[in-house]
Amino acid sequence: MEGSLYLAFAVIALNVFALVQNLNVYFAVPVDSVPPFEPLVYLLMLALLMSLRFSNAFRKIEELSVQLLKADKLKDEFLARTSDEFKSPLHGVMHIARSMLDNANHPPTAEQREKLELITSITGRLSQLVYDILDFSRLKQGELAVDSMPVDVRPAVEMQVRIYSFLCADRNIRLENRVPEHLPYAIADESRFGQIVGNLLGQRGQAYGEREHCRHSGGESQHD
Amino acid sequence: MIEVSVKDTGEGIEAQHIPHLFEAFQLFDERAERRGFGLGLSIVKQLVELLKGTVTVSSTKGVGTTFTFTLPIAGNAGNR
Repeated sequence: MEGSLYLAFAVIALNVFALVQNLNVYFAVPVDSVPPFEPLVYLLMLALLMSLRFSNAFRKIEELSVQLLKADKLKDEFLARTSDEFKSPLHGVMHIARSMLDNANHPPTAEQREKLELITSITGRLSQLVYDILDFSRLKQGELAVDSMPVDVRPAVEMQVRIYSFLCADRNIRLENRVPEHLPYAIADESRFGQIVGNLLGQRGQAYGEREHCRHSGGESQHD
Repeated sequence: MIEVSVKDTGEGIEAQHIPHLFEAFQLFDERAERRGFGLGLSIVKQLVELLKGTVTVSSTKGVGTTFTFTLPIAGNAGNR
């Protein structure tokens, strides 16, 4: 055990102290021939023991945190790399399923069509997830570059509204763009701006079932 | 600055979930068909902050939810 030597010295010091006292009582050996150093030795040993334990714990925590940081980085890299690997096969599967759906020469039967549509919707969701994970890890590492420039908000919102209107076409969801025209430009990255608006629209669209009627709008007000 | 809101008339979000809404991997809807991975809003928040804006949410259960984000506005050169 760490510091057992200190503990042993402490015990010896205490015993010596007891021995000297006993010798004084039974054999009248003078106690004051030497100063009573034993209790001091005892306390010193305990203090050394505690400081040793403390410094060991401190060192262990430091080692652990280095290991944890390394593991965390490995995990992020793993996540980003696997996501990257998933990207093209997913696109391939989606593409094949779509081309089979759109095949005019051999149109799929109703049952096949249903299955193919399921495949496209699942792969679509998965590739969205892959992009999310990639963006997330890039954001976390501070690697996501933004290209800030003036962005006209209304057309940028309009594009997302159109995309998500198309995606929600079979559900009872209506999207409205209520951003007024002739607003000053916002300073933003156009594609990131689209991603923000699209993500919020998509999030909301996802959060409703097919039964509810929902209305989304990009309302807007300007300050300053 | 410019403020953009995305408003919906959906079922709203429980008040207890709102403080954790923008944290990654937070999933509040237990229904399987609505399970995502809880990354979307966290990405939104990080992107908005990267563009020097802020994002907030307000929601009333049963009425709907409004997400609002702000962005800095272009100087006079960008004005029309």
